[in-house]
Amino acid sequence: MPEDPNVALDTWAEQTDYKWGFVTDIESETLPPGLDEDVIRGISARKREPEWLLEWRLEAYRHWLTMDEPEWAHFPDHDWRPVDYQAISYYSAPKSDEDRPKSLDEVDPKLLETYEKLGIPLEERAALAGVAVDAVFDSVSVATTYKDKLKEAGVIFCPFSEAVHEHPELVQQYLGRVVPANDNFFAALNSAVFTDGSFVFVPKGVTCPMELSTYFRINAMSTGQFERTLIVAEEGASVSYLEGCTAPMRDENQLHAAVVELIALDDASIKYSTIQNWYPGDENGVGGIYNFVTKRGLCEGDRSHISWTQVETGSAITWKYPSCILKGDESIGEFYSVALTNMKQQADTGTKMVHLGRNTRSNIVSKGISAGNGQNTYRGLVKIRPKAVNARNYTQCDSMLMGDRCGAHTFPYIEAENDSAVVEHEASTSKIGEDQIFYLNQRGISSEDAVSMIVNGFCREVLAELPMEFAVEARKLLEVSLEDSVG
Amino acid sequence: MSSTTMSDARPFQDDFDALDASSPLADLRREALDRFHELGWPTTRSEAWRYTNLRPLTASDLALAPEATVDASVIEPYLIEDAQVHRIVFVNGRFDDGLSDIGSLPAGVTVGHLADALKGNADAVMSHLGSTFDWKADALDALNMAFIEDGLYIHVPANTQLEQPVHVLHVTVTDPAAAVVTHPRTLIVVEDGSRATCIESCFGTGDDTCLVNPVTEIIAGHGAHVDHYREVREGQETWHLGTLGVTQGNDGQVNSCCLALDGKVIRNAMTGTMEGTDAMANFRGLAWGTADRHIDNFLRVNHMKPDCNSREYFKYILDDASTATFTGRIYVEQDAQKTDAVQTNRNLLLNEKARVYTRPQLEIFADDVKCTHGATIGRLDEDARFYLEARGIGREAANSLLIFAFANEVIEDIAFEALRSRLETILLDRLPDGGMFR
Amino acid sequence: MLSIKNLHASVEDTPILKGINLEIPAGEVHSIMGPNGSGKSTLARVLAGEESYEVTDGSVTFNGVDLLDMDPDVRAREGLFMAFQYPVEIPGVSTKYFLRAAVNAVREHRGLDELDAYEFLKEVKEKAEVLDLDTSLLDRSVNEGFSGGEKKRAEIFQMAMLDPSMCVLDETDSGLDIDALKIVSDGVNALRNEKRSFLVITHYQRLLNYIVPDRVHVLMDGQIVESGDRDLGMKLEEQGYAGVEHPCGADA
Repeated sequence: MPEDPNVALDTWAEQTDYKWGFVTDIESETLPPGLDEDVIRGISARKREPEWLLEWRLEAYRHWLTMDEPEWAHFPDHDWRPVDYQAISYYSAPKSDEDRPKSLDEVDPKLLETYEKLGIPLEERAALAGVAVDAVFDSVSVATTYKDKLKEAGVIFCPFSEAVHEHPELVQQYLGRVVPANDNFFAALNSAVFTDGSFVFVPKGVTCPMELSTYFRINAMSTGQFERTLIVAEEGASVSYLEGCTAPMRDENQLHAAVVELIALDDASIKYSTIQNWYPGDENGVGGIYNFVTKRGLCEGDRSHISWTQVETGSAITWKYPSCILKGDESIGEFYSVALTNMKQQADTGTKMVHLGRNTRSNIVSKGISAGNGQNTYRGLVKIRPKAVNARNYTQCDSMLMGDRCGAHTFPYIEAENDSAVVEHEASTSKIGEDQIFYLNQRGISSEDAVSMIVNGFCREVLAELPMEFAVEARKLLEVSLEDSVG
Repeated sequence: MSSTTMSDARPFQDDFDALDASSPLADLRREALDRFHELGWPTTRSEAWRYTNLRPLTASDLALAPEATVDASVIEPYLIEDAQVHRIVFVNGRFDDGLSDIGSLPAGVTVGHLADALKGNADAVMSHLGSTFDWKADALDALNMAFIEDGLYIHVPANTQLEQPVHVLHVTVTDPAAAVVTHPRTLIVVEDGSRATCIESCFGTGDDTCLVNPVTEIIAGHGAHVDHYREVREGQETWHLGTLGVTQGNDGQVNSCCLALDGKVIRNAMTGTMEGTDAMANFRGLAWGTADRHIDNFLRVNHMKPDCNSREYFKYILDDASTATFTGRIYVEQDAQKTDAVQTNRNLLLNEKARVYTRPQLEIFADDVKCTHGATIGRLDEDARFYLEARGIGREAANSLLIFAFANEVIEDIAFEALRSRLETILLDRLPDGGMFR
Repeated sequence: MLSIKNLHASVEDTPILKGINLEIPAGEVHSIMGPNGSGKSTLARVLAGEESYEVTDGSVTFNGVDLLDMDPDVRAREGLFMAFQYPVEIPGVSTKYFLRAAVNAVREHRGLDELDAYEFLKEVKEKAEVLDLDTSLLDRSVNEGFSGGEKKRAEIFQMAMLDPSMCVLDETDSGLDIDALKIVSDGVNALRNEKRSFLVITHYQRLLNYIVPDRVHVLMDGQIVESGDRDLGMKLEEQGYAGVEHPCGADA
C-alpha cells in the first residue's frame, strides 16, 4: 500500500545525518583552558597587537566579569548544559603561526582537504564562482584568495588580525562602534578574547567587484570560536558578503560567540548572508554548538541600506538577532531568515529594527521550520522612535510544523512612538498538507521530493535574497536535511 | 483604615488584620497576602508589566476603601436604558442592597452575595475561586484574593437560560485625602447547556487617584454560552487594573468584550482556557486613549484540546499623549490539533504624542493547526478621507466618521442591543460632528 | 488498459464502493455518471491511490500490472493521470518548477532522458498553444490564486505535459462556464488517440456534448447499475437519476 505521508515526515524528522562531522587531524597550538587577564594578554601578544587593542580587550573582560549570563532558554525541559567558561580554550591556531602560508601551495593539504569535504575547494570554487574566500580555520585565517584583485578596486578584505596591523586607524575608528564591548554578555566575552575574523572596507563610490565569502569552522576540541567581523562601506559603496559555518561532531557543547558589525555611510549598501550549518547535536540533544552571536548593522548615512539574509539549519541552540539601526534618513533595513530545527535543536532568532531617521523603512520575512523535537522561535523588535517620521515596517513570520513533538513560536515586539508610522505584522502557522503531498505524488513526484519541494516553496522569498550561487547551496542544504525522509 | 506606602514592609497588613478572621476564606486570604508581599508590586522589569509602570501609583499612600454609600443619582447615568436587567450595585467593593434590583430569577439561578454562597456551599465556591488563572503569578491578583470580603456570585444550573442580562455596577467613592483601593470580585458559574449574559460597568464618583483591582472569573460548562462585557468608565485619575479568567468545557462559547473608555490607566489581564473540545472563545476590546491615559490589554488564550476556535480582536484609538500596549498570546498545547485561532490588534494613532507597544504572540506545540496573528499601526486612511471630502463631508466630520467606523467593528458585534446602542451614543458624543451620523 | 474487478472501498469504515466492475480498453473514452454521493469521486481517488480510501476487496489492473500495489507517484509514472476536482494550492512552489520535476520523474521512469530547461520550455509553449493556456500561470505558485477555470485548464495542461495513457477526469466540468468548458473539452479531445483512454466522471450530461464518450456507465450507491452508449447520457438528462432502475445489479 502507498506510504503514509505522515510517516514520511516523521522519518524525515528522525533521520538527519550530519554529513560534515569529521575532524581534521592537524597539529595545533592551543592555549590551556581558562580565562583570566593573562590569557587575554597572551592572545594579544601572540597576535602582536598594539597596546590600545589590549586595553580595549581588558576593559571588555573586566566588564564581562560584572555581567550575568543570560538565562534565555525558553524551553526549560531542554537539556541545557551551562557553559563552563573556564573549561574553554580561548586560542587555537594551526601550529605554524610564525610562518603562515603565503599561497595556497603552502597550506597544509589536510586543511585543504577539509575544505574540499565542505564543498569549498578554495581554488576552484573561488575561480569558478568568482568568489573571494577568506577561510578561517579555527582562530587564524590561513588563506586568503583574490586579495589582489580586490586591492585593485581599493577594497580591503583581509583577516581581522591583519587589518589590525595594516589598517590600524580604520580598525580603531570603527571597532565597537555598532556593538560596544559592553553591549551584552556574549559580546563582552567576544571583545575580550576574539581571535580573528574578517575585515572589509569598501571605499567611497566603489562597488565591490565580487561576492566576498568567509567560511568559519570550529575544529579543535573545546575551543570556543570568537570571531569578529567588521564591514565598513563608505559613501556610495556597496558590498555583498557571505559567511558559511560548519563544525564537526563532538559530544560536548561548544560555544560560538561571534560579533559582526556593519557600518553603511550615505548611499552605501551592505548585504550580509549567512548559511549556518554548525553541528546540531544528536537526536538525544547531546553535543552541538551553542550559537550565541551578536550581529548588528548601523545605517549611519542617508539612503543607506543593510540587508541580512540567513539560512540557519545547524547548532544545538541559536540565539541570534541580526539587527539594523536605521539612523540615516531614508535608510532601509531588511531581514530575511530561514531557520530549520530538527531533533532537539532550538533556534531563537529574529531581528531588531530600530527606526531613528525620517522615512526609514524595514522589511522582515522570517520562515521557521520545526521538525522532530525542534523548537523554533521568532523574536523580534520593531521600534519607531519619536523622530522617525514616516517610518514603515512590514513583517511576515511564517512557521511550518512537521510532526507533533516540535514547536513554533512567535514573539514580536512592536513599539511605535511616532503617529506617522505604518507598521504591519503578520504571522501564520501551517503544516505540509497531506493533500499537497498527494497532489504531487499524483504527478509522479515522490513523497520525499514533494516534502523538499514544499519546504523550498515555503522558503522561496528568503532564498531569493541569497546571491545566486549560495541560493543553490542553501537549497541543497535544506534538501540534504530532508533526504532519506521516505522509507 | 490605615494607609500603606512602598516603604512599608508589609503593605496592607493593617487593613488585612481588620478583616473577619472567621471567614471560610481566611486561610486562602492569608496565603494570598503573603504571596503579595513575596512578589511585591510589579515592575517594568517583568515581561507582563513591561510597558505599564505602576510606580506613580504605588508611590502614593494607598488605603483599602472604607464602606460607603452613594445616592441613586450617582448610578443613574450608568444604567442601561430600555432593557430589563438584573441589577447589582457594589460601592467600594461592597454589595449595596438598596441600589440593587435583582428582580425575579429563573428557578435555581443564584445572583447574589459571594459571602452568602460561601456560607451555604463553601467547598463548591472555593473550588472555583482562583481556578481560572494562576493568581499566584501576579501581585495584584494575589492582593485581590487577600481582600475578598464579599463579591458577586452568579450561578446558573444546567440547562437553564438566564434571559435577562445581569448588570453589575462597580462604584468607587474616591477620596481627595487618600488613594483608596477596591478589590471587586465576581464569580460566574454557568453549568452545562446554560446561558447567561453579564455586563460590568466600572465608574467612580470623582477624579481623585485610586486603584480599582477587580477580578472576574467565568466557569462555563459543556455547551454553555456566556456573554461578558466590561465597560470601564472610571474617574480620570483611576488606575483600573482588572483581571478576567475564563475556563470552558466542550462545545460551549464564551464572548468577552472590554471597552476601555475612561480612567488614567486601564489594564485588563485576561486568561481564557479551553479545557474541552469544540469550544469557541472570543475576546474583543476597544480602547479610547485621550489625554495621558494608558491602556494595557494583556491576553493569553490556552488551547488545550482539539477542535477549538478562538478569535482575539483588539482595536485602539489613541489621541493626545495617550499610550497603549497590547500583549496577546495564543498558546496551543500538543494535544490541541485542528486549533483555529486568529488574533488581531489594530491601532489608530491620531496624535504625534500617542504611542503604542504591541506584542502579538504565538506559542504552538501542535502541528495541524491554523493560527495567525496580525498587528497594524497607522493613521487614518487619507484616501478614504479624501473620498468623503470629495462627497462634500467636512474634514472634521470625515475624520469622525472614519474613527467611528474603525471602532464600530468591535461595537457592532455586541449581541446585547441596548448596550450596543448606548456605546454608539457614547462614541458619537465624543467625536466632533459625531451627531450627524446618528 | 484498465480493468476493475469487484472493487470495494471504504472511507473511515463506511463502505462507499460496493463491487465495481469496469473494463476500459485502450483508446476508449468512458464516462461515469451518477448522483451526488454515489461514489464517483471515491472511485477516482481510489484509482489515484489516496490513502484515506481503503480498498477492502477486488482488484484493479493497469496495463497488466496490479495498480493497487503501487504508491501514488508510481501510478502517475506508469501513466495514470488524475485531473482533480479541487486542485490543491501549494504556496511558494512555482508551477514551472513543479511541472518540470514531474515531467522528468515520469520520463526517467520510462527510460527517457531528462528535459533540460530549454527543451522543457519548448514543449510547454507547444502544449500551451494547443490548450490556449496563458503561460504566465506557470510563473505563479501551483494553483495558488487561480480561478476555477484556470485551475481546470492547468490540470488539462499538466495532462498534456505528462503524456499519460489513462486519464481520470474528476468532475472537471464543475464550476466552469460554457466557454471554459469548451476550451477544456477541446484540450481533452486534442489529446485523444488510439492508445490513450479516458474515464470522465461527471454529474451532468452537458460535458458529454463536448467530450463524446464511447461508453456511459451509471453509478449508484457504489455500483454500476447501467451501462450503455452515449444515448444513455441523454436519457439520464431527460429522466434524471430517479428513472434509472436496477436492471442488472446483483441485488436487483
